[in-house]
Amino acid sequence: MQRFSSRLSPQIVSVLGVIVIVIVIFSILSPGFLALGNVSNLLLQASSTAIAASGMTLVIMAGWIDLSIGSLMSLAVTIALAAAGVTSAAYGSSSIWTYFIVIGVSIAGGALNGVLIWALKVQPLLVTLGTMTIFSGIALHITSAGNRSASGPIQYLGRAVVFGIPLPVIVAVVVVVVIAFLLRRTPFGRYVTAIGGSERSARETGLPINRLRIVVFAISGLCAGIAGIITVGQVGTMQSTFGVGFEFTVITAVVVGGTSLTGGKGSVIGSALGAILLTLIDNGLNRVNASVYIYDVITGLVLLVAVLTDSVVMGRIRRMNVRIRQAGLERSQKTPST
Amino acid sequence: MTDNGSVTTTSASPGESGTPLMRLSGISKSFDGTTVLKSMDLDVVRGEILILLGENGAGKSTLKNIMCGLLAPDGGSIEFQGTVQTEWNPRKAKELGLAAIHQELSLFPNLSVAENVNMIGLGNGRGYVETKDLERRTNAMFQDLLEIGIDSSILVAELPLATRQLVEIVKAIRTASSVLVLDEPTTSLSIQERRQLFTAMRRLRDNGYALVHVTHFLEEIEAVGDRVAIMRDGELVALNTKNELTVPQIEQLMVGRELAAVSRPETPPHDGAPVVLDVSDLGDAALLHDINLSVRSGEVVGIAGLSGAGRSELMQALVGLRAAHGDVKLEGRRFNRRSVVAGVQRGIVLVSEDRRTEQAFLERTVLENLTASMLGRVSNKLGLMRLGKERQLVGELIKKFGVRTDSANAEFGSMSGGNQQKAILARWLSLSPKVCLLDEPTKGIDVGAKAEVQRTIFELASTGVGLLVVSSDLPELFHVSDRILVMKGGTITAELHRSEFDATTILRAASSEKA
Repeated sequence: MQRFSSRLSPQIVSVLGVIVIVIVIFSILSPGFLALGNVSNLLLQASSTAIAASGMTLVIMAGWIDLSIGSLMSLAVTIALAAAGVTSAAYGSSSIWTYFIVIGVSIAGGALNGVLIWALKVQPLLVTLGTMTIFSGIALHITSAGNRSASGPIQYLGRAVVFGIPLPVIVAVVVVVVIAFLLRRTPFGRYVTAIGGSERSARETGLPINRLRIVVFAISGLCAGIAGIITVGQVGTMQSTFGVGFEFTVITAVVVGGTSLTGGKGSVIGSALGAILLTLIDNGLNRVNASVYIYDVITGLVLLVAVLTDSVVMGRIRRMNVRIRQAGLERSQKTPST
Repeated sequence: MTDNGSVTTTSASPGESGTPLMRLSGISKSFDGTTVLKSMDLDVVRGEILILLGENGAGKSTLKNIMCGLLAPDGGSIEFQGTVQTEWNPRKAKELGLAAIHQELSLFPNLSVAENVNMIGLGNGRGYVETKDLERRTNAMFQDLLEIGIDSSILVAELPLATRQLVEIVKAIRTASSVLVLDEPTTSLSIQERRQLFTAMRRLRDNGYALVHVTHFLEEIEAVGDRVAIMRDGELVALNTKNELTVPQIEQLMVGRELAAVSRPETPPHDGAPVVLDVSDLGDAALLHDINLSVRSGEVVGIAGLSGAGRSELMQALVGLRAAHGDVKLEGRRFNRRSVVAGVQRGIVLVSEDRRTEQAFLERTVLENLTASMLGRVSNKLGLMRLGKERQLVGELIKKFGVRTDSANAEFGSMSGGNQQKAILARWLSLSPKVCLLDEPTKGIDVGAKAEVQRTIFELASTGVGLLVVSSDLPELFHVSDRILVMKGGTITAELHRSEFDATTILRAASSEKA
């Protein structure tokens, strides 16, 4: 029986296909779309989404969801800047410690999600909906909904260029590769995939679901934190709306990248491609001076198309399986069993 | 064995292999006020296969779940190798070498066979997974344990049910080092696969494992059993070595009453009765071909055949669950645009083999499950539900079909397997069908429930319903059928009337090469 050469290929191939189509369209509409400067810019824009999407892929692969990442990233940066003595958009500067505080708070916030789901025995959707509100509430309380200066060392990660490549792009590649390796090649990743396949089976098999959940949400938080540092460094100020709606961009990137919302099927590389696709559309529409409001319409359409392609591809595979099973039946008939 | 309330205990087999490995004492458990286990005591002994028998709802599954740490008992204690276990959970059980094969397979459909089998300890001590190595080792495991060749890189979702069951078996055996609990592991296996499993079980026993085998098939006592434990209503009613009890005694102990043999009503002359189902030249793209059959009103037609012969596929084709060409006539009128909905209107229903996963809503209530296919009958002209009427109808059905449940509002999945099956049967039969297709109607249910299902078949036939019954249980087919059709390779190869019923003839017609 021939096995489908790889489990991730059909999704990745379809995302790549859409990416190529989008590139072709915008190259025609806007010459210079593929110029080196714009490509570098594109990747830079996609990096924070790709990083957060990597963490989110683990969560969604396990059949869960994390709605709190946008708020968590805002909270982590807010606390770190407050700790560095930044009190307004014009006063104060970050320090090297700011990095550690953002990372610490975002891991802790993510782990808290995992602990709460375990302790309250409530679905991740509801728990992270709650923490999403709580995190952003605390952040707004600290800043009184004002803007904060993000000057000083915090800008380094978002703005540095190494060997002509923007540092955020390098960080994103590293994060994507590491988490892809975690998911594909380590027992931890298989456990996460297994839970997404059947949480009941995972329980009966004796997998440490609660511990795994805490780790997975902590990684998701960590990725959001890194994305937060990059974004705030690029902008230079943290606005009161920082992080709002980020979780939906990230979830869209993951789903467009072929990861199933019910869990058990997907890939980190796909999510990164999803992030790139969303950025391509954003950037392209910007270049052709499309109305700001049309962005969301197009993004929504791309999501629907991605989901549709996915179900068409999956449907074809399912039919193939039926044929394989019938071939198996015919074969088993030929072996005498009495 | 007339005083079946007393517990007969026999000393375990002699030698040092006879020390209790696991001891359950005074285990009790109740769900929402319903007592499922009353102070159970059970010793699990090294080097022994303990057969656990009991009717559906006797508490076998609950006991199994407590043994595996999936459920915490309300009272009593669990000892493992002489130590009382205060915190007993699946991980702890696993650490001590206990593994279980669950009735509802605990597999991950999205992962490969190799990954499923090796889920615990995937890294093999290293930090990453060597897929090729894993697959090679898994293939070897299947060969060693069951003498079955398999490509373990295939996803479990792509495997047929029987193979999945084998995967579950290998997965459990791999992690077991002391106790192996098998909850009805043989239901979808072929005879040959069963034999291979039994050989593997005996080998494990000889290596000092303790095995607990939960089953409905009494013949498996003879095949692999050392001791037999019989449960009834949450209590242990007998614990004997295997040859101390006869089959009728066991049946009586399980049911707690003399089993009234379901007598078949005098066979009515069907020849004059109208044909309710007439099939000509039915076939499909893959398996079925040239199928011709007819069923008269009040007639029970049995379908025999080996697994893979196309029996279930024929049933599915008849109600439109499977695309097929050919003519189907119901009461003389054509039924060629087949679908389940149209079938219900025309009076043909199928109770499929895998009732619980294909036809039940496990998380919903018993009531909702029962009326799911006849909401039209319990709602008014505006399409609003008449809840009182629904409740009344469901009450009648529960009583009529002997469904044992706490209340109509209980969660469907909380009932025992046999009762779930009775409930699904009740749902379809309450539609007053003209033609009723039953696919393995007594599979996986106990002797008591089996008799009730058979009685239901006779009752239906006596009211003029035509029945087509698929069963792998030949004695049952002989008992219920007026005629038996034998299928092989997607078509009908033999037809036997009541006077010609003979196991050898049927087996010959059903098996491919062998004469």
